[in-house]
This record gives sequence, C-alpha cells and structure tokens, in this order.
Amino acid sequence: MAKTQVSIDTNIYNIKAKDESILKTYGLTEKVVKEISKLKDEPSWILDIRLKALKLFYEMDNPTWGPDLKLLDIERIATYVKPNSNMERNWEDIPTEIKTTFDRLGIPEAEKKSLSGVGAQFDSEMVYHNLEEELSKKGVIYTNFDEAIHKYPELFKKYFMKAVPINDHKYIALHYALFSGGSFIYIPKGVKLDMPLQSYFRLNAPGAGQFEHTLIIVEDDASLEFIEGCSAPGYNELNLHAGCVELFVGENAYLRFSTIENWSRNMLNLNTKKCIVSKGGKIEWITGSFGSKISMLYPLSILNGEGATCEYTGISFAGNGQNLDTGLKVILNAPKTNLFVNSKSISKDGGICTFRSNVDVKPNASKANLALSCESLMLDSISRSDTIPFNDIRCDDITFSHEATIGKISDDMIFYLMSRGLDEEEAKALIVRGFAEPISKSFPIEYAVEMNRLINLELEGTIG
Amino acid sequence: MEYILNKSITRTTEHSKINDIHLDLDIPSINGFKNFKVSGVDYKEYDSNSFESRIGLSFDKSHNIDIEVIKDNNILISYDIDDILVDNVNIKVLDNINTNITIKYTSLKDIYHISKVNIELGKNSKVVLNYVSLISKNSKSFIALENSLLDNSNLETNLIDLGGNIKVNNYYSNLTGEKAISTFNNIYIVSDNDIIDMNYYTSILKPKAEGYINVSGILKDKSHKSFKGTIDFVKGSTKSIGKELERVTLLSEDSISKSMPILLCGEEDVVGAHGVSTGKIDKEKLFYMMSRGMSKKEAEKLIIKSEANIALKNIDEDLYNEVINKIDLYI
Amino acid sequence: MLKIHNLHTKAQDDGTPILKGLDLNIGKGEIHVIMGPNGSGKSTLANTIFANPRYIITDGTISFEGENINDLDTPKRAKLGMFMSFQTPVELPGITVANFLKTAKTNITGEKVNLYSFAKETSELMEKLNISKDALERDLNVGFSGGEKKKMEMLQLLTLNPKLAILDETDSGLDVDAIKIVRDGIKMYKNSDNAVLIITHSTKILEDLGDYYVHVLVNGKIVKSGDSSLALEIDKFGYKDYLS
Repeated sequence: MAKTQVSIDTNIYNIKAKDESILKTYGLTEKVVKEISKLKDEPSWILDIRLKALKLFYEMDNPTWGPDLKLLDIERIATYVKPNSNMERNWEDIPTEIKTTFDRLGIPEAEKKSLSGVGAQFDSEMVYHNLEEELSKKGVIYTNFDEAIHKYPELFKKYFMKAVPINDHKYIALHYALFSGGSFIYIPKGVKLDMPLQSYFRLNAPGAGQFEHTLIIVEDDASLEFIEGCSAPGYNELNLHAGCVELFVGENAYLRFSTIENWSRNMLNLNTKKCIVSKGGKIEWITGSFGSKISMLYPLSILNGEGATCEYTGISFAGNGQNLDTGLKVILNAPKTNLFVNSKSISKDGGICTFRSNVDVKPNASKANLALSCESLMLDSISRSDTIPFNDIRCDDITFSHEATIGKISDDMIFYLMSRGLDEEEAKALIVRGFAEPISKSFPIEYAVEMNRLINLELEGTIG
Repeated sequence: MEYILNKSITRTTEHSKINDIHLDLDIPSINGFKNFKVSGVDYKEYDSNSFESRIGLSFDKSHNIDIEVIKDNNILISYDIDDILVDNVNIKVLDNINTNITIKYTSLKDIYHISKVNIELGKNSKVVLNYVSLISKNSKSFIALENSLLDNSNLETNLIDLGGNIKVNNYYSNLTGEKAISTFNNIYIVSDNDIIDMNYYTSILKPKAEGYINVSGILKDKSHKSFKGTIDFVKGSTKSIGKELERVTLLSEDSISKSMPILLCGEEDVVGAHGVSTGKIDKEKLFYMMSRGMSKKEAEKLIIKSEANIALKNIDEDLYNEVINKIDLYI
Repeated sequence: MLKIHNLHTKAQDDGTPILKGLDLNIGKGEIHVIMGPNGSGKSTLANTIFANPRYIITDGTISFEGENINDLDTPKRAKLGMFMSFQTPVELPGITVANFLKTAKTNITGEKVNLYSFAKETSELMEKLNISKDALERDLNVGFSGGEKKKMEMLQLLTLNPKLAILDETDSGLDVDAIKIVRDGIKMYKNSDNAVLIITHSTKILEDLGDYYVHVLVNGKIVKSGDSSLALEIDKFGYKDYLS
C-alpha cells in the first residue's frame, strides 16, 4: 500500500500550478468564438472558418463506433484559457508558476542537452519558443501558430487545412472553431536538422480544453525529427484535447513525429493527425499512449507519391478506467509505396485497449509492400484487448501480410528471470519494459527514461 | 428489394462498408420441395412456417430436416435445387459419437439458396461436417452455419463454396464446453462480377478450448470479397487457443479484397493469433514447378488445388473429384 | 551442500506423480550426474530444485547448506547461491544481454554492481567463451542459435558464480558444438568450493571432467549410483538393466 501512495505523491505530472489565467471562456457559442478571434487579432478569413466550423459541430453526430463519448458536455469545457504570460523567447522571463511546472517536468534541461528548439504551451497559448540561431539563418521557421498567421500568411494559407478538412469529423469541426496555440514549423529544401525540435503541451486549468494546431512542412530533401509531449494534472472535471496535426512531407524528405502522451485520467483525447507524403518521402510515427480516460487516435498517412513510406511504431498502456482506442489509417495511392506497422498494447486493471486500423491499397499501388504486426499483452482477466484491423486491397501486385497476437506474459519467461534472482513483480516489470523497448529506444534518452518510469508507475498500480 | 445482411457485431467506420452488406435481390416465392436424399441415418422431415438465420433473411416457409445421431456412421444429405430452396438442417450428435456428415447442394439452373445448418455436439463426440455447394454459376446463395460444442467435443466444418455470383456466408461457433475444439475451413472462388460476403465468428467461453478459422480464396476478374472473422475470448476461457488465417490469391488486378480479422480478448491466459496474406500466387513456387516442365497455367492450377485441400481432407473420394473438377473449370 | 530426502513431486496441471521418493546428497567440490531414460523425471528434478510452479512437492525435503528450502520461492533460492542452466532458454525480446546480466548480478548479490569492474569482468569471460562483443547489445536469446543460447547460459554461470550449478542438458538433440561449450563452461567454473549437478542423456558432456558421481533415475527414483564407470556402462548397454 505504502509503495503506491508514495508513487502518486511524487508523480511529477500531478503538480497543479495555481490557476492564474487572466481569461477563461466556457461553452461554445458564436460569441465565445468571436471573442477568441478578437483577442488574437486574427484576419477575418480565420474568423469565417471558425464560425463555419462551429455550425458544423452542432450538425454532426458522434461516431457510431468506438468508446462512448456521451460523457462530453461541451458547455462545461473551458474552451479558451489564456495563461498569465505573453510569448517569451527567454526562459527566465516566463512567470514563475508556469516556469516551475515546466522546470519540474524537465523541459528546459532537455533543451540544453539534446534539442534544437523548444516550444512550450500552457493551457491555450504558447508561452515559450526558442530556436537555435543557426537554424533561423538557414530559413527554418519554428514559431507559434498565432505568429505564423501574421508573419507568414502565404505559406500559412498554402498549407493550412489542406491535410485535414473542416468536416472530417465532429471533433475536427470543434477544433476548427476553437483552435488556439500550437506550432508552425517550416523546414526549407535540403535542410536537415541533426537534433530534434520539441513542443510540450501542458493543460493546467481544471476543465479546460486544448485545441492546439500543429502544422509542419518539410520541403523536398529536408529532414526533421519532432517530439511532442503532453500532460495535464489530474482533476475531477473532464478535460478535452481536440487538437490537430497537419504534416506535409516533400519529395525524398523525412519526418519523424514522436509523441508521448501522458494526459491525466480525466482527459478525453480526441486528437487528429494527418500526413501527406510525396514521392520518395518518409513519415515515421512513434507513439506512446499512457494517459487519458478515453483516447481515439488514428493518425492518417496518405502516401501520394511513388516510393513513399510510412512507418508506425506505437505502444498503448491502458490501466484502470482507461479506454484507449488507437491505431492508424493509411492510404497507399502510388506505386512502390511501403507500410510497416509495429503496434503493441498492454491492458491491466480493467483497462481497455483497442487497436483499430484502416489500410487502403488503391489500384495504382503496384509493387506496394505492407507488413503489419500487432501484439497485445493482457496482465489480468478483468481487462480487455481488442484488435480490429480493416484492409481494403484493390491491387494484385503487392506483398501484404498482417499478423496479430494476444497473450499473457509467458510463465517460462517469468520462471527464467526468477531463477536469476528477480522476484515475480520485478520479472514482470522487466518483461513489460522489454515488450515496450522498440518504442522507447526510438525516443531521445530522457524520454526513454521517462517512458520506462511511466510503465513502472502503471505496473505499480496493482501492488498493495 | 434492398436488404442489409450479415451484420457485424463489432462495428467500425461506415465508409469502410464492411459492417454489413447491402444487396438488391429479387427473391422468388417458395413452393414445396421434395428433391433431396438422406442416407446413413434416420431423420425427420417437415415444412416449417418460419425461418430465420444470422444472415438476416427471414421466410414463412422452409424445408426442415431434424437428425439425431446416436451411433457412429457416415451421413450424406443431398439436395438438387430447381428454383429456390430454403432449408434448415438441425443435427444433434449425442455423447461419444464419431461421425462424418456431408451435405451437398447442386443445381443446373440459376437458383436462390438460403440455408441454415445447426449442429450440437455432445460430450466427447467427434464430427466432420462437409458443406459442399456446387450450385450453378449465376445462382445466389446465403449459407448460415451454427454450432455449439460440449466438453471435449471436436467439430471440423469444411465449407466448400463454389458457384453462385452472390454469396453470403455466416459461421457462428459457440464453444460452451471445456476442451472443446472447433475448426472451420472454407474455400471459395469468385470471378466476373461476383460478390462474396463472409462473417465468421467463434466464441470461446470455457477453459482449454480451441477455435480455428482458416479461409483460402481465389479472386478473379472484377470480383469483390468482404471477409470478417472474429475470435472472441470471453472471460472464463483460460488457457484457450484461438487462431484465424485468411489467404487470398488475387488472379486479376481489378478485384477488390476487404478483410477485417478481429481478435477480441477479455481473458488473460490465452493464446490468440490471426494472420492475413493477400497477393498473387507465390512466384517462387511457380518458378519451381515450371522448372520441372509445367506451363504457368498448369502450375497455377496445381498450386490453387493444393491450397483447396485445407477443406478437402475428410471428404468422400467421388465428391472430392467432383469438387476438383469444378475448381478446374473455374480457374 | 544439497541434500534431497525422499522427494515426491506431482505435475501441477493434472496431478500425475513424477518423482517417487528420490534421495540425493551433493557435497562441496563434487560433480554429480543424473542419467535415465525418457520420462524418468530428470527435468522435473532440476525444475523442482528451483521451485518451478509446474511441479508440486507432495512429500520429502530439499535442503541447501543445512537449511530446508521447501517453502522458498525461486528468486530466494537463486539468492542462496543456486543456478540453473536451462535446456531451451527462453527468448527475452527487448532485454539486452548487457542489461540482463547487470540486473541478475545486482539481484543475486543484493548490491549494485560497479559498472566499470563488471564490464571488465564480463568482457574477459566473453573472450574465454568465444562470444563476440556485439552480443552484449542483442536481445537475450532472440534469434540465437542453439550453440549461442548455450554460451549465454555459460556466461551467466560464470558471471553469477553460484555455489551450486545445475545443468539441465536433457536435450537429446544436443549438437557437438553445444556439448563442447557446456563442457568448457563447467571446467572454467568448477573449483573445490562449489558443486555441479548435471542432468543428461549423453556421456559426451562428461568427457574430460575428472571424477564424478553417476546416478541412474528410473521412474521417479534413483535406482543405482556409481562412478564414471557406471556412465560408460550405460553408454554401451543403455538402461535396460535398470528398467524392471
């Protein structure tokens, strides 16, 4: 018992900074949307989009499949929360409360050691953005969304909403009505970053919603690794994350998009991510989903050019009260395209993990190469693990295989480790970390360490 | 008239169009039916005034055969269909019985066939059920196979599905016995503009049971296939095994292959696996055979026929030849 | 060091009795060999000494260094100084050899290892066993050949340096390379303070090992004990004389 209590107390994610926000709006009305737009001093065409999206949100229905979203009452969600801070470029200038939270999460430390640039968002606004001087000189843009609208309007208009249309689904409509914060990244032709860029999203105000929009453009022959971290402290009210990520990968370009999600257990995570890949380009999704009460995450990759590739490596860990419905969608729309999927999930303490995929091989995807593998680990008999993959294949000249397995930690493995001196719980923890290793090794070391810590915290939940 | 059939229990996005199948059918009315034969067992035959199956078609008239298998023997039921047949075969196999049952359907004309076979196995019984459909090319068939198994029983169901240009198949296996084993082997060939829709479900409820679903199919021309397979480990099915395997051979670039191999799991100590492979005939195999003097076409036929064997291991020799000849015709 | 008295065990899943009154005494500095026909209970013995939950003790005692260990679980037994080399070691995906060795050493000694000296020790042992350095970063046993897996077991044996080594080598398909690896491992490990229990079909593993005791296990009991000449006799004539 003591062990578990100690872990919760020292759970750094659960720090609640004093709510010093200087503005909060609740509910979703035209008035609220106009107010948000005015505060940001947006051009009128953006306000038009917001109002159109608002209408669509009320017209569209919840999905007829997946976890039940009836819990969500939009009237009770704080749709916009402005933190008591302006956008700063200097870490020292950020207000203490906010800075302390991020300091404890290790953000600036990580920047000093292994990142090219960091963005930090607190509730609805970015509070910090910094990019290495050298990269700015090369033409790399890494700025917050609001600034992008004002500073780079042509570039912005060229790509905004081109990957995710306004009527994609109900929660994208919501997103386009309320979007605030997020990053705009542009990597010019041929520029290859050798250290990753990172954005960290922190939801602090209780009952708040986060609707950040991330837009990343990697031009031909360029390369970028981007890391996204998300967390929120645990409250009793429901928090909502309906963010959106639009990614564009140019010809022969490379983008690795890594996410560690550790939203608190009162979070509804309905994020939408889409990526369009051109000829010879490659998108790599690396995802670790640990938090939130309900998650529905299906990053979509459209392989639009010959030789385009999508690689997906992901792990979900659902514990008590969690319903993580995740997977991916891929459309192979050109010859010699490739898809490699390695998805793992762990269910425990009544948690529900569902893997849901949608693979569309179009008639022109000749010589396409697809290999999907899903592994699920059940740690007890009260949890659930469901695998619901869907494939629609309309080209004969392809190589396609899909395998999935479900099982428990093998008794033989546990016995072997116990014969080397580990007790049963230690043996299980080591095996589970080994199970997650293909994902943790894709993150920079701090995140890998963090991921292992999260796994241990999840496992410890049953002790005592 | 529009029908929505073969509805899936596990649902996904509507635009995948795999949750169920929408068909426009012109089903003729039913008259009496007498063109059948049963050998190897006593049976009860009667007309029923209501018929329903998991596919979703219902009728107010059906031809019923009830069979109780009380001793080991080989049973053959055969139907020759003229126009439309709605049939319902109920088989109850008592404890400790070993039996091989073959149900065969043929037709010379283009017909409608709506069928339901329900089989219950008693403890320790071992049954092979061959369901062979050799109806004409442009017929329409709707086959629902259901079974439930008691402790230690073993059922192998082989569905050999040739003929028909609209085929809707449903399999529902209920493993309600400890150490019960159900295996489902299905082979089919579709060509031209044929449509085949499959919804196969094995539910494992008790410990140490095993459920297998193996499907091997050929798609030619502009045919369209939808496959849903589900293995459901219900709480209580400790130490059970459930595996599904779907192999699809594509013989044309215009065919459409949709698959949804589902694994549902609510129990910890189980082994579940599914595999799907889709593509052209293995080039290595073709090359090997051609290097031994076979033409490409001959080699293809041989490979396809060998894959069909998953469902033909326990079938009578004459029927085996009939099936192989039909396959030859189709490919 | 190890004293087994009147040991009876049964299989956990269906209750079949396997060991039916087994006695065995192993002292410091000794090598003991258990041989016997298939199904006699050889693997069960090794696994029972290590508290594998597949087998349940129904009567008798196992003592290690004077202490009754019947109720001790597997890791506690490992910490007392016992080690088992498995017939077919499991694969541990995601757990590297280096990571695993460090974790095992830490758990058994109860102290955090000094990384520098541990790394040095390990690389010396790997050289002796002819294991290439890059094996350290491979996932333990994943995709390893039979011989490579044996080398991993021997590497663990030498790294953890237990008081008693139990080698479960009942795999009748043991190839020549693997046999040599195990033999070399035993030679490197053996000294006058520790002890070895080898469970095997084939006497090839025993070549060159010096003096050892042989026990014939038939139908859950030891029916004959002797020295190396007993092993040679079994090699020549099989077990038929003992199968009554």
